[in-house]
Amino acid sequence: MITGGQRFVASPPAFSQDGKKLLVCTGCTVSIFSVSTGMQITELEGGHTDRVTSVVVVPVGAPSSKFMSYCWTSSLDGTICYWDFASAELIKKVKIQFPVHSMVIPSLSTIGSTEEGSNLYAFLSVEDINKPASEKKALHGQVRIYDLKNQKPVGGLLTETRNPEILYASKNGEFLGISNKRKLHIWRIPANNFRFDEIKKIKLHHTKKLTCLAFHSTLRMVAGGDDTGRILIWYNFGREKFAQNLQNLKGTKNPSDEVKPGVRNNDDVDSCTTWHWHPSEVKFLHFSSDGAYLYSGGNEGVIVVWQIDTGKKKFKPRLGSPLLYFTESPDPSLSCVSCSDNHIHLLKMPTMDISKSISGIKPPFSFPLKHEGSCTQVAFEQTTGLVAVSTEDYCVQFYSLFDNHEVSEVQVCKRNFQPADDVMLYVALVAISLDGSLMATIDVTIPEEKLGGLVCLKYWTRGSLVAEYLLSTVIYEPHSDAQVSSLAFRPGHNMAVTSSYGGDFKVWVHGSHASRNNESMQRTGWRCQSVGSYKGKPLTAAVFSADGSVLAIAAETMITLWDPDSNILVAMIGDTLSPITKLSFVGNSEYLVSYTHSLKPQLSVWSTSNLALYWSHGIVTEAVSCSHDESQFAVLALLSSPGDADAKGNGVIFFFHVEDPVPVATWTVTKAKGGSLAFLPANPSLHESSATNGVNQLLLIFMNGEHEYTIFNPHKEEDIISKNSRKSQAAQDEAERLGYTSIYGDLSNTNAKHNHFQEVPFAPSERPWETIFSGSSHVLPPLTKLCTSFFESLLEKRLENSNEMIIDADL
Amino acid sequence: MEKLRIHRSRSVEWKPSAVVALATSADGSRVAAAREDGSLEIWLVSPGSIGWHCQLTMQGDPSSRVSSLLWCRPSPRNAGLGRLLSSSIDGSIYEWDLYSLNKKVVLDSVGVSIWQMALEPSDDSMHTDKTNNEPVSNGHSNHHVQSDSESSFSDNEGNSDSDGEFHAMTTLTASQRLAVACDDGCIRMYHVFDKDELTYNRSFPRVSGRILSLAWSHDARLIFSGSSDGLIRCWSVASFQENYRITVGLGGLGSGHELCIWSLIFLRCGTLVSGDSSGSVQFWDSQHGTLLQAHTYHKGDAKALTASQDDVFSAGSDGQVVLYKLSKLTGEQMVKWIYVGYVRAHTHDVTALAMAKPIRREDLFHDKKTRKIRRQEKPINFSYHKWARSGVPMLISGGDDAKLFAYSAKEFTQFSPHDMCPAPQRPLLKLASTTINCGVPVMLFQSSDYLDVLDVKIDGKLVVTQLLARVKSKGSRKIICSAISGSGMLFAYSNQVKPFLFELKKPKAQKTKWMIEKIQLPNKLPYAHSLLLSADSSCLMLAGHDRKIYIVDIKKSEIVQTFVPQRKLDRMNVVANEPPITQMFTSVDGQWLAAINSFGDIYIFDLEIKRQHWFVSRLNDASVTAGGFPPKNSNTFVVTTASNEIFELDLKAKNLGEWSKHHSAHLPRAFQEFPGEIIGLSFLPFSSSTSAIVYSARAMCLINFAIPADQDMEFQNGSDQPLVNHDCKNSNGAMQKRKFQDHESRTNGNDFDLFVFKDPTLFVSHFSENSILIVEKQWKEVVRNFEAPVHRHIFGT
Repeated sequence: MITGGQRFVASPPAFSQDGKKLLVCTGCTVSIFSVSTGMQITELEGGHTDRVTSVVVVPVGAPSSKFMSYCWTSSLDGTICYWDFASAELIKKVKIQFPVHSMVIPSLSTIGSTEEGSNLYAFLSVEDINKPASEKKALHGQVRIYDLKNQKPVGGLLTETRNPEILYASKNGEFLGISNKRKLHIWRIPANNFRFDEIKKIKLHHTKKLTCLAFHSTLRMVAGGDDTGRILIWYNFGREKFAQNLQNLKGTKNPSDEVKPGVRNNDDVDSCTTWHWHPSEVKFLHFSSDGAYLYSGGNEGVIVVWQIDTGKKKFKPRLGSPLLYFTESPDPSLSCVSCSDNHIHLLKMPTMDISKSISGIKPPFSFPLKHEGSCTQVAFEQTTGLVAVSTEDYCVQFYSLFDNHEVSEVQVCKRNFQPADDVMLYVALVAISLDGSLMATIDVTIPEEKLGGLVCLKYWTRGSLVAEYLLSTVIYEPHSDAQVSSLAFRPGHNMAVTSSYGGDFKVWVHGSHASRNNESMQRTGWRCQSVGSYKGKPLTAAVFSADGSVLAIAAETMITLWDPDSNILVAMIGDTLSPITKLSFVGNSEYLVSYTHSLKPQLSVWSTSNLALYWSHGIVTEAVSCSHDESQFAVLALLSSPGDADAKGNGVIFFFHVEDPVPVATWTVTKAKGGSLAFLPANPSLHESSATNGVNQLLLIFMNGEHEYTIFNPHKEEDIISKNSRKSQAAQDEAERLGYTSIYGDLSNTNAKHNHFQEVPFAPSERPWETIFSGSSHVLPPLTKLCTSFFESLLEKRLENSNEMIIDADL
Repeated sequence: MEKLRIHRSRSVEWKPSAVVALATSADGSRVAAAREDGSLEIWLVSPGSIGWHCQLTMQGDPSSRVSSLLWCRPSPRNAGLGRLLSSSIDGSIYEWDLYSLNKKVVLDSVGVSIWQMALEPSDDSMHTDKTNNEPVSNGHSNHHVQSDSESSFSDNEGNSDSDGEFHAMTTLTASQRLAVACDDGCIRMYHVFDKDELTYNRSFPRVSGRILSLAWSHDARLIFSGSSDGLIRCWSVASFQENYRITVGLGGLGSGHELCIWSLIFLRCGTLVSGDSSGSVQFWDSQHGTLLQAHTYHKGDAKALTASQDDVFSAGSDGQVVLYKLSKLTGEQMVKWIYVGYVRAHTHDVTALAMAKPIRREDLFHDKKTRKIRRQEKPINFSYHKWARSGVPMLISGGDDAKLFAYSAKEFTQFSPHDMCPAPQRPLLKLASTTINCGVPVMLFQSSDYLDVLDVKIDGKLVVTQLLARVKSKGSRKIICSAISGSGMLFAYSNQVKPFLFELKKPKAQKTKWMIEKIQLPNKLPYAHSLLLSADSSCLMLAGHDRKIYIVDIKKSEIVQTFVPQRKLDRMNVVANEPPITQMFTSVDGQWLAAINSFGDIYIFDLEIKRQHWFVSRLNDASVTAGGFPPKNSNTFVVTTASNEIFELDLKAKNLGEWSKHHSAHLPRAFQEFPGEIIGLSFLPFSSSTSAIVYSARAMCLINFAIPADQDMEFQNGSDQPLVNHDCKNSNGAMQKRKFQDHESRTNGNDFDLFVFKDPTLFVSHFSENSILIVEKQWKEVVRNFEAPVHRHIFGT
């Protein structure tokens, strides 16, 4: 079983202490990526059974431990694990009992505190599972302290919140904060071995919901972002409350007399500054390590760099999707930003250029209402094991299922994507031919006040590289202004069919046609070969049979069978209860599977030989996939009815033999809504052993509604595909650059230049001084070169008649 | 009690002009505002009042634009407010005499434009300010040992460099040095004495570029000048030599294009602050001329700066007022000026800032326990969160949108600013129910340089005004005052030269055309600060600038009587030295003439026996905003004061009237918190009812003098509970007002019913027995007349 497609951006990543590795929470595991190549090196697995929520890298204490690489991870399964991530070994596991949503270990920040004797306190934001979830107003979030060394909780609760909040710690570990609705809670944590009651807390108030905060690296300054895009900076927080002792207080002035500009509720701060640039919620705030800049980001996909002294702004625009986290590495020239399109961009720091991107599979996006029905976001390319995902930024992303990384991206529409804008354009349908050589896409422009709507059909042919597609034909409004309901390629032919809700289908062929005027101009492209319709009914689905001989079109409740070449209606198969959503031929057999999606869901198997219903089930079907050679198919069914509002999205995969209405095998899955299924041939290059031993080497892939996928063999109970077969993509660490080279790179090889001049041809002659200086100046070798040869020639001469030469030289 | 129909008219022309300069008087209580049309306004908070009140308006010359205003310190011999000087673009300096309401040249044109004046700070260490007992808090780089001991508001923009010294009632030096920034690159130094013209001291060396801004150091040893070529120069006052210069452009950007240093201030801690045309506000170490910090928050030019304690305010042409605060960060020894926040109240450029301290007077009133001013005033919903004590500094800003806003200086970001003048430069209107125009009322409209006579017809629900005649002032001089007779036949105005009287006639031959005939007036008449036509249209009453009141018989065209207002009635040989009369009212029966001077003293004359009858000194120290004689009872005179109090005077008894005796001290709080200052009073013209309408630009209130003030409405001072009740009440009123707009009649059984207007209202008057006319104008439409503000970039556009 292979799993993949995890979200890289569910939790903030962390850099290793040398800044060369990036630890990314990927589902139940932590993946470690190389910063220099952007490829995955290894994975920490086996520790957690639920989503990993935070990674804390243990900093390097002494130079001797420079190569130590340990980290703490927390997870929703209620455990905290201690890993050696260089060797991917689990060292220790601590049970907490509560799902941990966020963890910080402030004492790790103070160097040397990892020595013996001092306690290792973890501050955890946990979810109180004892309170029933139905109580909306109950305080489900708690902040607790846990002693990791002695494995016991310390003290009571620091605070309770409605929901578990993310914990933020200052760089020196002195302060800890959370944002709780319209307040910030800040605790001052005394240095080593404190008592629980020594922890003091202040609150900072605002009028809007605060979403994130950040502590300044050196000064007592905290920044908070709210959901309207404002950034508030409080200066000198906690001067009274966090004072070391009470004697200090007496010297200060009475706080009520002081003017505190911008401060609400007489909070314990000196002043508060408000900046406003972001039009919507601020997602992250981060002070630079030197404390001169503040980074902020949000939905617009722009990193704003604020100079704290002057309030001047710089921007890093065009990151292409809403931003989530910003992480700085120990190396000041490197940081990374997590985008909500499942990409982590590694930024070269002062300039903020993207040096590498760690790209996961892009998440599904929501289609605008009333366009939802006719969209599929996923198509499988079966020969190479790729999945094509249409994305929000008008692209089709090709993702390697077996290797779990992005292969390429094809931009479908030539338009810049703005994450904050309304959806005005989307890629509705993607189809890839069986051999992967052709791709067709449908993109839809939503009319604005009933103007400017456009449906566009594009045909693409594969280029020289894997998953590189070049645009071959653009057809505007293939069915005038009607929505296209399905798109299918004919196996073995350069032919495709589109069906529309407008009541017609078109068969497109790829061919060359000469232009009338100039016969030498041969233009190739896709053109419409034939148009058909059936009683003017909306055509809801279209599919070719596996051998390409029959075209099946669903006209609402009827299935019509056509000869694709002559465009003749061959037969009709009668009536379902509601319009058919999808059709599929079962392999080479004469059977046809259809399902409907309305209030009366139905999965039906039709026999084309009898032109009759063979068997049917009343299950809510989300996806159907048929193998191409066998009479088997897999069905993804939802456990809830489509109208069910609080559908949890749990589903079942049924594996049917077409002859038998009783499934051969079933698997329960989660997040089935919006999921898809496909049969893939086991990649021979990867699974040589399995390819040799059997005929039925089809693998089934299930991709859930969040584009996480699982590949498994439907015939075998045990997993024969192990991860060991995956080729290691661990990058060869390049030689570490130090000093000069780390800044300016390698010096150009000056020796090579010398060699080059050695090779300059010049003819040594008996009398070199006659020829050596002749010729135009730009072809002459440099004087230093000429001199030596000149004097060498003179030296030779001197053997013969030395006296003359001396006189010559003097001259 | 009665039903009222409301008729609204919006057809008047109203063009307020921009505020160009502000200056605070030495005691900080008064703010002078110069407008683009050359006029000057004096604003103050009357004792006991909660809002700002325009005490005086003086017309100026529209051709000489004021570039800066400055209020000198009062000298020991000449106590009072000190001289108010204004410099103009034509290079001369004027003095505005607030006592005699005239303007005189104290420095003839130097030939080049004057951009700014700066008065030498007082280095008088003998007079320690009472308020300065608190420790010096802004101790940032105290290399200049501060020998002077100024109040905490020591620093102000060059508009009035001296306004910080509230204590400075006396200075030992006879003259104050005035530095003048000239267009030719020269700083000229003058001596200002108590009287007379300025005397020239000497000039600093001339430099390239124009000098736009000036600031004195606090020891008066250095002058800093900012010029149009992006340089700040530091001059030694003793040697008249340049000490150093600062290139202001950030990161060397100053070269190339012109960078104008619009304003400079010197802080007590020795920091110099500059605001320039790139929108940067920069803080400099004044000893070394090095940059401490730079902030660029303005999207347009940073036009004005002012400071209060550790706070620096800057205003820019983007309409923002930005606050910077000195902050000492723990963990570092350095102090920093941090940006705190901004308030954008103005829709257009902000051109001037001033820091003022509203009231310095001790509370004299026994029954008002705590005299408070309202720092924040929200006109519609009446949610007053915070009450400010007197002496709390306020920031005043004036801009191109003709508005003045007052901000809390201490809690700048917490409270929204208060619109001091909802109807700036309100055109004056008078209504006369005519006999000549078939009983259709005629309205007189006084604009800055013309008079309009309009007839007001009610066409169903609409009010139709039609222009009957327009009289333009000769040489487009500013009209000071005007009057229309009760019959509408006669109207008069006075500009700064002489008064004029006109008669409106309808020739028999033509039906529609109206004729204006000028009526000769006696030659001896001076120009007037106030004009009045008697009820029977027989005589013209004129309050001249020579402080005498003339009664002119119109038919005979001769002066019948001359009154000299006086405080003591028994004195025989009188010299006209009382402050000029700015308002006059006469009773319907023609017996009484009430004259009110600019400070609120009331002089009552008996026209029958032709002598002064009574003198009423200013009521609760507040100036009079409106007054009138009830139509039926000529022996009572009703006045409203700037502290939003209302008094009924019994003239026969020379005492407060019955109603006033009972209720003036116990006016409902809702009335004292009347939104805006009361600008007018209107009685029912015909009926015997004793009720009157009192109005401000924001609201109006019906008061019945017959019914005693409702006990329920009466408030107890000091407790907040009644205030809450009134809040509810008032919001009810606001709701009912909406019905009211649909011309629904409304019965009010209560005294002090408050109606809040949506748009700035210029004039309210009774029309007939049960209908009133409201002349108003939407501020949106007024704003359309202004030039477009500096373009602001809005996100996403």
